[in-house]
Amino acid sequence: MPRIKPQLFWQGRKKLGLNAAKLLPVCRTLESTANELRWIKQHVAETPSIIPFGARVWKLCDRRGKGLPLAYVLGNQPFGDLEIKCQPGVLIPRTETESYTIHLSNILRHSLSSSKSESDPDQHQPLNIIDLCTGTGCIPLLLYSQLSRSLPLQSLNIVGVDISQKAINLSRQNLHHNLHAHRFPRPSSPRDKSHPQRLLHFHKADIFSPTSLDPILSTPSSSSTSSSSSSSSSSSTGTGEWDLLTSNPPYISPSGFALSTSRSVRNWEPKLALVPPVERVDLHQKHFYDHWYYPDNEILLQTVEYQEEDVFYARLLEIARTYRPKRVLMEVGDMEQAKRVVGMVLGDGKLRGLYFGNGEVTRGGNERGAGAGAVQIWRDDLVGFEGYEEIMEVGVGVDGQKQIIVVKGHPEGHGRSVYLRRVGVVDDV
Amino acid sequence: MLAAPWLCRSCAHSLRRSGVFVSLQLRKASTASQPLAGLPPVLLDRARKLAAEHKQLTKQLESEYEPTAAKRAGEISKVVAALQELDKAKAALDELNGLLESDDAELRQLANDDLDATKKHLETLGLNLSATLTPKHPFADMPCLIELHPGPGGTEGRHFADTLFRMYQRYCENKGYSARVISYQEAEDRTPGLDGEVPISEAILEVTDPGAFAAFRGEAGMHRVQRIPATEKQGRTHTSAVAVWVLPSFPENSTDAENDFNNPESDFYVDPTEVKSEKMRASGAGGQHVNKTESAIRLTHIPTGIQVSMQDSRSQQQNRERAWRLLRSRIASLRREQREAQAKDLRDSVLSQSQMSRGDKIRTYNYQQDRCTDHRSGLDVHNLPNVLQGGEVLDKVINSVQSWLTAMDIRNLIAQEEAQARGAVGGSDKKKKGGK
Ligand SMILES: C[S@@+](CC[C@H](N)C(=O)[O-])C[C@H]1O[C@@H](n2cnc3c(N)ncnc32)[C@H](O)[C@@H]1O
Repeated sequence: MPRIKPQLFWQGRKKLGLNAAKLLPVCRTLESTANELRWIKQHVAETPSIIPFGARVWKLCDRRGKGLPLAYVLGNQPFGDLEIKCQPGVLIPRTETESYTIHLSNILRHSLSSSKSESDPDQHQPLNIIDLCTGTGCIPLLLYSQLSRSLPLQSLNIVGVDISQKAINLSRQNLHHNLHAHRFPRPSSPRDKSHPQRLLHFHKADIFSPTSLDPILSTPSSSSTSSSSSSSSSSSTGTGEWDLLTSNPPYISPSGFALSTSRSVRNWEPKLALVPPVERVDLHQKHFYDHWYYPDNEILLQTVEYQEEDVFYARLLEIARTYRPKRVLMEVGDMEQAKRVVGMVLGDGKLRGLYFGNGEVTRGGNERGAGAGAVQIWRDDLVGFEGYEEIMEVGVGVDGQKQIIVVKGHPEGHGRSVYLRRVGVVDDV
Repeated sequence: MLAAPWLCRSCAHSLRRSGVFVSLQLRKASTASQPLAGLPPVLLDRARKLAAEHKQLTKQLESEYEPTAAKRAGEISKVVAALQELDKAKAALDELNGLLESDDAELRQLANDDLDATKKHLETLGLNLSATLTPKHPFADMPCLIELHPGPGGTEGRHFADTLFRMYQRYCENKGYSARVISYQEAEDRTPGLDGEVPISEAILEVTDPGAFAAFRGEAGMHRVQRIPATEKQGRTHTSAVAVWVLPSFPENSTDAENDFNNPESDFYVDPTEVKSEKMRASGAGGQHVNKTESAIRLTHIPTGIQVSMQDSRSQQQNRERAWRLLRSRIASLRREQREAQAKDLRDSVLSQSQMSRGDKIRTYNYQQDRCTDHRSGLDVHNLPNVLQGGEVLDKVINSVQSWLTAMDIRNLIAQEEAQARGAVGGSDKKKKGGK
């Protein structure tokens, strides 16, 4: 990173004052300095305190000037129409995440409102959504907010899971914070039989630990179908289906962490949220083999080799394989990682059958029939650019067969997520 | 891959209708204080011509029914009715005036008593008539964005832009319009101006009431200020300018808007493949790798080169939404201007001198003389503080412009119709755009 010119520094102090001079080294441009100073002042003006205005502004500028991310300095970050509380120790929600979450809620809204009008309005059947590695809870909270507004009669059952107690506490705090600000309706209590029933829960669990995760995954709507002991029913049939599985898991490699993250990420945000731990990779690699080594599927022995930063996707896909969610969305770090994840899906017979239909892919097209299933890569900048589509060929390497998938979003955007839609499920956008 | 329904939406629809007489809803703003003198003669002429046409049509229809003639007669019947009312009231006034000359003191007294009420009545009827005659602007019912851009040349214009911004904010407050700040960008230079002015590089106010576009469209143009700037040491008067743009906008979350945005026929349609989007942040991997607070969004519409950027909010989503709204509004406005220019080519060049373009000065605010002059309506008022406070004096100025615009619209309409009539004889380009 180039050093700031002394001249700029001097200009900043002269034009914007001493507070700005503190911010300039981290903001780096006058424009961005002016914006941050304005937001800090706004924040101070909006939060009452007995300490004088100027002193508080000064203090916050001082903290920010030391490199602490603005969201930690102010204690929150806008996310869609929500205000998400942020604390050191829990990752700050990113705008890229915000963008695809909004797009996802639009997909759900459109496909539900169009299917509901034909068949009987069975809105007692909740929409089941689970977010793994939820952090601040931003994804489930925004989905809850958007869906309870756009589908006012729809029952919802939304779950967030994280390994960190700090994250779980914060996500629950975020639920209450936005509730008190009247940004969305209050979730129903489990005993409450009124309609629509809307549930939103956060659980602490390690997604690699089947003993703690399976109970959460196996009964998507158990809490809504009263607390009777019907939880023995198998997971993938009838009512107990997940409509959507989302996850923004740690996806940065140890070397990427050292080289390509910005300093304020490296110094201030939790590594647990960013870099998959190496021990886990070894452990899971074994685990993964055990599961996937079927006689009819030997080929997997070759494709199961994955890079260490992809270990969470291996686990997420394993979960998808077992629980067959109708839609899956996983955030990724870049286009290369997106392609690797797509490769993992297409390289596995069962996943491929679930999300791509078996085999025959017509060349040249996204125009596969309705309900054909989909494997897509979404780029940054989807909102406003929903119409963009490119076709991408992905080699699977097994038998040299090429597959075709759709890449959505503005062509200049980074590859940001992988979207899977199960065969038989229709998106209507 | 836009699943755009080719439906006839409100906006595209009313565009096709432009040039037809539509009754204008009277805005609560300007009803009361419009003098009869505000009724331009050209308007009366027009009404009489239409009345004559109506008479002829009725006669024709008596002998033989013909749908187009019937439709036309229906369209102008409102004008005829309003004109009849007005004529009746005029006759009544003339009678009263005659009575005022009478030798009978008692009669004179009676006439005098009635005089005020009759004049008032006449005023309302005049207003009615102009309402029935005015072709409705296709964006008239929409909310609007008021954009302020200081002219080149120093802090003074940036200071005055702040004053104009506050003027419109207060005016909205006084009129009961709901306004909100979409963008307010302080300039880098922080020198304070007169009365606590802050230099700004750009500001956008949205007036969300339906019909705000009609109420404010006369404000578009160059606003000139003449005064001694706060920074001036030698007491010299400076002249600077601020450009005001008034753009139509959509009510938020309206289904009409969504439909219009997806309808390639609509002025507000923007093909996303023609838009370049930049997040104004250092390039890099994004996602978990960075946590920069840069939420700024810049959109460039490649075919027109129109560029908008938004950075007021910490929320990128909000900046993006606002940037898209602004882009659509600017493009719609440009399309409309282009169509108007086309229509102008059709008309006599006589009128072009009264046509205001973006570069013309429309109003001057002179501090030393405590005066505000509108160069179109010719209205000259004192009490500048009241104007800048968005008070009733500003309302008077704005109303004078409204009347001027109405008269202009009507003259343009007449000229256009005449040109078209001529063109029709020559069998030329009568159907330019939007003929269904
Ligand atoms: C990149 S953050 C994403 C946070 C949030 N979803 C967002 O988008 O802002 C990854 C999260 O995964 C959690 N995490 C890491 N390892 C986990 C594991 N084994 N099981 C569950 N959560 C884990 C971290 O605590 C962190 O909150």
